[in-house]
Amino acid sequence: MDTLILIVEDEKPIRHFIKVTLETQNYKCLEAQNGTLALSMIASHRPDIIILDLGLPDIDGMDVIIKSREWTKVPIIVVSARGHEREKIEALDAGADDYLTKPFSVAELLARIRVALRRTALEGSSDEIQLIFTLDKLKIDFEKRKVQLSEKDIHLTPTEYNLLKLLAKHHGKVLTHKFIINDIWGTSSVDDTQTLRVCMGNIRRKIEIDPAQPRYIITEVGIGYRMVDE
Amino acid sequence: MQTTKSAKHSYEDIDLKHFYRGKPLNIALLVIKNVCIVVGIMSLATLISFGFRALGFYEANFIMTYILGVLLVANFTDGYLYGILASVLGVMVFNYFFTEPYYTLIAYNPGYPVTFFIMLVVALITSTLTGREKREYQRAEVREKRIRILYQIEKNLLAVKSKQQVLEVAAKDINELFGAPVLVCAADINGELNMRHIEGDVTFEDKREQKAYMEAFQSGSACGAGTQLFSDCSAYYFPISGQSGVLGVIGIIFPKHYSLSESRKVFLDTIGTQIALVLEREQLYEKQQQTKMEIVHERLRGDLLRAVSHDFRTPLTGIIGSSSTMLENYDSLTDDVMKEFLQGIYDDAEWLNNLVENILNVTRFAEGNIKLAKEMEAVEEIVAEAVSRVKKRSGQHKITISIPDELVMIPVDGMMIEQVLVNLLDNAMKHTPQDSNVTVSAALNDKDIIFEVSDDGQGIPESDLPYIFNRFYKTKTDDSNTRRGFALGLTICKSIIQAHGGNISVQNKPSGGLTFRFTLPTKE
Repeated sequence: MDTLILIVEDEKPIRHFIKVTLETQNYKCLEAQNGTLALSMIASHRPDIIILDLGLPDIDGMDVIIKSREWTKVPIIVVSARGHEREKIEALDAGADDYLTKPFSVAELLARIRVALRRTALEGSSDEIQLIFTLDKLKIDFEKRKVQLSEKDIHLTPTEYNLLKLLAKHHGKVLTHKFIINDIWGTSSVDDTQTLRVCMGNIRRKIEIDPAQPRYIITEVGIGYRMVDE
Repeated sequence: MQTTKSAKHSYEDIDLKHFYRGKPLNIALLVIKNVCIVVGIMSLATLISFGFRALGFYEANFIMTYILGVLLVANFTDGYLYGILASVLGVMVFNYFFTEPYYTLIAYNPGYPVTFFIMLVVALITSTLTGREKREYQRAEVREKRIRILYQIEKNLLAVKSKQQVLEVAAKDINELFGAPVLVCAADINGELNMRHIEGDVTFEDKREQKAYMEAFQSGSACGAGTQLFSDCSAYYFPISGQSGVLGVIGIIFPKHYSLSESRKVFLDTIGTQIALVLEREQLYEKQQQTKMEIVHERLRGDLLRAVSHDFRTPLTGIIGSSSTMLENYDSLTDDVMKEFLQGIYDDAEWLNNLVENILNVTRFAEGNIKLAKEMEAVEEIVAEAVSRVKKRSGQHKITISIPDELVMIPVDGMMIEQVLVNLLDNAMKHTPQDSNVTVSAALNDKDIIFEVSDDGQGIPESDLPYIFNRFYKTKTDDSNTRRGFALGLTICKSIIQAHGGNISVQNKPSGGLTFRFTLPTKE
């Protein structure tokens, strides 16, 4: 079955270029130039992925996320400009899965779509919890709570382990500071963001060869962290 | 604060102390003390006179002894009254003990009434003169003390750096001086009475008190305790008046029984004037700073417009030219040529995008108060993100990173510092050939972190170094084929680093190549 992608974007040239790009990759595309149309198309066509520009002429892109999240888990990739970090965080916290910063390259777009599709496939395939996570030389055994790098055991504190586990479970997806802090510490305040940064620094020192050129966990400045997907 | 300490001691012996410190003076005690002095000294004079008589001295010596007694009394007692008392007493005692008939107040010798009269007049004049002299001396002492106080306040106020500090220092000084709770408030730059400092009491927070000092501020005349207006308030409020009107209000809570004489009010006014001078100075400075800021922003905005037309037009010309050529000659162009055009369009668009990001940063600065979203950020995260952003377009350049092993957190606006590094890295790559090495490093100092971005290119002429951060700077050696200069980017780097309280500099490396170095404080 072909993958159906809904492109919600009011600028025709951008919509067009995304459509052409995706069609060369054998994806099927639907176009919507405003939010209302997008919502009805989500309901009627059941797309597999939604690419959503947050600045729409009729309703706020954020509303599209909130309304559609009431009944569907379809991956939503939001598109927004650099400098609009707050908007991105809100969209992610409202249920969007990923984001692209304008202007983006074709390669970036395709990479995000691949991640989204893989995640859907993973969630759909089995209800069993994945027991072992491997990424390049990093291996996490969730059952034994063991982390290995190049077959060598890595010792993490319970918090560090929980943080790594959380990122691994959502690998490929960007997790906002708020989401992570809520999950790990159960609260959210400014101080905790700093604690999170320190904790992340410690993890990187244990699993990354060069913390300044991370291989596994990427910083999304102003937004959060992402465990790479490939 | 050594000066204020010693000053406090010198205030202790001030005559005003009684009033200012607010201790009720026990009048009965004072009277008894003075009467004792009168009786004591006059008795002593009588005893000496008895001695003189035993020695057979002439009468005039007794009179002189009594007049000396009166003089001493006038000197040691408070007020004219005791001097007069001593004069009368002296004449009577002299008459009683030393004129015939002895031990009566009658005198036989017809010359005595004249002697008594002259003696009384001399005694009276002596005592009055001595009293006045003493009073004058005391007044001069008070004056001198007041001048010392004013000088002290002035000295302390000289060192202040901001309006709020003026209020603090003034309140502390007045509090120290009078030992009474003090409020000093001043108008902010918009003329609202919003800045204040309280020393010693919370009564000033009362609604009623606030109304009183607002009244003093608006009307420009004193009110509160001891005046007609708001006399039920606990503090006396008087305005700080400067040349441009009322600048603020001072409130002092004097003890209940304390009476504010005119001369004291004048003295307080003088203190007020002194504070007014300093406040006016600070106000001027504030205004000047604001104007300066506005000028800077205005210039930035103007430069921005120029930069937009200057830096935008070139890549846009490229894009329009290439795309129109392709549209018009679509059939005759070979695939290779088309690809070249497309690459050109892509590069120009990239360039424009970069420019837009920098302009967005400039507008953030130009929108008035530079609001940095400072947070504790990890150095490695900022460097990593900057490098990964640049890598997308780094081509054949090799980027090496060198940062401290330990986790370093600094209070910065992460996005801004990232932009600085991106600009410096871009700049390095634009001005060096492919395959060049670019190094990003960070190292900790005592209280700073030092970032460096350096390349192994040709560097720039020493004579150009001072101008590199200027808007529209372009290296003279840039030939038309290389990329346009990145003047705006470097200017923005400088603004961002300065806004963070850091420094940015550039120098040629001895081994060739250019090094940009900037420092950022590691603590707020």
